[in-house]
Amino acid sequence: MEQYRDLFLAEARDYLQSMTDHLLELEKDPAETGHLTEIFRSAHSLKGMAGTMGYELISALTHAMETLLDSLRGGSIEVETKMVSLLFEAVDLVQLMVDNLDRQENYRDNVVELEKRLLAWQGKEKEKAKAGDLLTPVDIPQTEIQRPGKQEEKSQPSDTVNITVNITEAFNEYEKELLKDVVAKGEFVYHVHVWLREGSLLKSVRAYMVFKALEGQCEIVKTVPSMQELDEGLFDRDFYLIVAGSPALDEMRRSIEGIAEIERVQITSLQDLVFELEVATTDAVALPVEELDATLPPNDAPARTIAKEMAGLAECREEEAAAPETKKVNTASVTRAAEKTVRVETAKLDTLVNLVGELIINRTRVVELGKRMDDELLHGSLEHLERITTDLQSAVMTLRMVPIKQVFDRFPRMVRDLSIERNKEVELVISGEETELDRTIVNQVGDPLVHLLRNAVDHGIETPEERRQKGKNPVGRIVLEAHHEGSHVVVSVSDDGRGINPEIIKAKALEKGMISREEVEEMTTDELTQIIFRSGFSTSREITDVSGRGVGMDVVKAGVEALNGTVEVKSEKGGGTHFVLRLPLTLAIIRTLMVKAGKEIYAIPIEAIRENIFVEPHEIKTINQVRVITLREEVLPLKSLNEALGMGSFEEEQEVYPVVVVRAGNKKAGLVVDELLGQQEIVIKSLSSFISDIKGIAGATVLGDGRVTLILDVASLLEDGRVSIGKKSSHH
Amino acid sequence: MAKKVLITDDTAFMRMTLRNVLEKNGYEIAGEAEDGQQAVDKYGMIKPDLVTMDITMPNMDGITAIKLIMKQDPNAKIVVVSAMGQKALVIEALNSGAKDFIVKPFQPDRIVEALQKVSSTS
Amino acid sequence: MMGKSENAEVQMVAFKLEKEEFAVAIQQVREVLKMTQVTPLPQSAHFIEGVINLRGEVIPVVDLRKRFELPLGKRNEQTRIIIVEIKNNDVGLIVDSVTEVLRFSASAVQPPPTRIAGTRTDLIKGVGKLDERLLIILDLEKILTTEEKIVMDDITLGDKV
Repeated sequence: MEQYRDLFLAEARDYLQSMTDHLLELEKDPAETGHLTEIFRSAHSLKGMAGTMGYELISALTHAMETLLDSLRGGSIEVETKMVSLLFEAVDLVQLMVDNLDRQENYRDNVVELEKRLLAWQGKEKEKAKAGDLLTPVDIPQTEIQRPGKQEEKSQPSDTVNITVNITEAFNEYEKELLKDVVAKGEFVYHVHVWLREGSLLKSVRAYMVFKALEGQCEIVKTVPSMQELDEGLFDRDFYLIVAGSPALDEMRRSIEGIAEIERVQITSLQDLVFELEVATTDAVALPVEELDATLPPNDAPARTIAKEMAGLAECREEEAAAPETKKVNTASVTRAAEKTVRVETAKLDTLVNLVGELIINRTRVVELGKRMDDELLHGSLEHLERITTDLQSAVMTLRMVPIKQVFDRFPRMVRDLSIERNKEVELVISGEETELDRTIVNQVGDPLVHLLRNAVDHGIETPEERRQKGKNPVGRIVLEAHHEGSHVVVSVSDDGRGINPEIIKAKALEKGMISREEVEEMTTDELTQIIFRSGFSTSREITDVSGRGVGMDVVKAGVEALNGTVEVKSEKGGGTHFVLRLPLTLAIIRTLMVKAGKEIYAIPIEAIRENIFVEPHEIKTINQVRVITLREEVLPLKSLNEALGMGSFEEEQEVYPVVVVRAGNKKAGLVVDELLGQQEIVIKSLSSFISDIKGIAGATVLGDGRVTLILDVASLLEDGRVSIGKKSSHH
Repeated sequence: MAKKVLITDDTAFMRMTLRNVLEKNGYEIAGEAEDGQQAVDKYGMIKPDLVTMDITMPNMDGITAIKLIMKQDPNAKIVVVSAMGQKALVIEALNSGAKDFIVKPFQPDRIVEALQKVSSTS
Repeated sequence: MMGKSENAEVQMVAFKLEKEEFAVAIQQVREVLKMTQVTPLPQSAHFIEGVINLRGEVIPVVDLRKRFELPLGKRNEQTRIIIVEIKNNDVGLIVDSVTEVLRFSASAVQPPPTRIAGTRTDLIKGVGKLDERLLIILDLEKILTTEEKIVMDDITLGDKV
């Protein structure tokens, strides 16, 4: 049952997203009827799915949406902002119920209220009246299918299954999609009818055992009565399932018959019918029901009934085909990649990634041992092993990759709502949403982006009047863009708004005592702008309910840095603001430079490193008791890694110092190490929470020889003032 | 050879009823347990072919016992004997490894059928 | 599960620090290792020796001698790392030696004597008596999650009992 529910959740979210997308488009271009058709279709499918699952509130609300959409389609009312907002409200409420399936009942009042408003808009008195007792579900598929058992008055189960079906509604969109997938995959469809012994107790658990028995053998497409009703034991002695897959029939039968108090199981293949259905749909011609009937043996009652259902399915397909523009939109956005993809539990993926990580560690170990031996054959196969495992690793890593679209998808709606609320006119342009990156990163990059976009609408983009006065297009423009750059993904948020005024920042930073007058003098405009990322800073003049919650850009920065990424801002007064986020493709494995300091080896993430240089003693100068070097006309503070970690002091009297020039945000420094050991890909192991907040250390990894090596957190190493110009080193 | 059954129930009456029904139908009662802990201990000692398991019992409940027995022997065949209205518990028991269930008060043929079905599955 | 009855037994892993004997409940112990390579962890609490690799997991290790401000003894063949679980985290404890696994009858384990001068009874979970031996059961969670200074005298009973 869980499995079925997960499927419902996934598909429902797809439909909700599709509704949101097309609602936004519809608002922009009301003349394009394809969007309306698409929204209607999604609402209809959702209604059907919800009905099957027995979620009456969702199905009632989507029904009301459908009614309103239908009037729109008929042209009796027109698209306007308020109405789109109303529909969005409904989408939100459905989303809420989908997210809280167990607590749907809590939203009953909301549904009743919203349904009234939806129908009032549509203005039909007849429908309004219905709204009063809305929760009589309206044309939900299974209401038209007579339940098995209820009709059966004979005490002996007979071979005849008395199911009368309203042909067109027998399968809803959702089930049709599933059946189409099944056929496309070359799998099979069966009708499984189960009878319990008379007087069986806890019938719902018997039904549960049947589902459990079928688990792993096939997928349950539909049950009659619905899952919910079966779960509540609302059936007499028999129920049936439509299942799909490639099960071994004998085994399937035995596994069900092996359950106590199951009296009989009847399995009927629907393969021929599905095949004919396919033929019918590809040619966009539905076979008449009579013809299908004729192809079946006369005593094959269940198959006959299903034949009718299938014919209904074909009829629906025909209807679709009759409306060509519908079909176009359909293939464009709602076609699911089901034929080519499998949904996999993320926990399983994580296990796989971890195991590959272990494999890589052990491979390194084996290769190291192998090098000690003088055996050509061994070296050859080790090389081969290295290649294969590297390929395996990258293949597995791609499994974790998802398009950033998943995050971007919610922004058009958010920007729309926000700009209406703030009386701004904003156009959001999104590109590169197909860019892929690690699932964990995608999950966590949402919040920083929300914040940047909100800021852009709230503080960046001016009001239409202000923009007109400045001679700008009254409609502001925000560009959200993503692309790959080496082993990184770069995401940028740009607006053409008023930009950041460095004078205001200067004044505020001085007022808050965040910088001194002398420091201000030395700072470039660019450096001033970066102050917005410091904690406790916010330039918002007025507190708004959107961005004025005391969360500032420092939170954005912390969020991005937690992902091993960086964020920068470029802005010109009056010329808009441009934020650039650089994110690693993955969090699990990173490239590092291994260095030696003291007796220990440390790993420095490559992306924090600008370059490696060798410095001779005479190049080192001391300013304000801080050692510095001049690198291409830039003064760079110098610190030994041991010193920065509190593990030792600066080693005087060396002939030459290997220096790693590191950078985090806009801070740079040279880290003096004893030895540069070379680059290595490592698997990040988190430190236990017992020791997780140690400054300068981001995590650990296990090297080929089994030793633990620490990964440096350059950002926090540079942050604590130990390595920064103009401040006294804490050790002196 | 007669199948060996371990009966688990905290009431002597139920144990007796089960014993009568099963012995009449050719099963050998290899042992009786009064709570989950006893069932676990005796399972290890007598290695029965089948176990009947009450759910609500003192000391250790039936579900815990099922889990522990399944740990000992993943092939253990346990049939839950539940009271009415224990739907959630029965499902938990099934998910913990019980093969089937019957509901008290049961008709003798039902328990025999359940045990037969369970012992004939591999 | 079974309730504790009067004759129930508890099993404890006994270890030594200086001359004192301590014990930790066997349920809390993951395993006991010989002294191994420890990677130092900079800028952490002074009693944290570092981290070790335990089958691919990185686990922090605490030197109990440092924790209780004892002079650092030589690590030798007897030195052990006891891996214990604290707040769902594995932590290693370096001790002078692990002596044995002891069975106490439940009645032989008693709450710490209250109000003994010079002893922090809040750091002690109980005292196990076995013939003439007296084993102190430490509240490891408390001891390892605070940074406050604790000296050996705080956690021993000495001749005070």
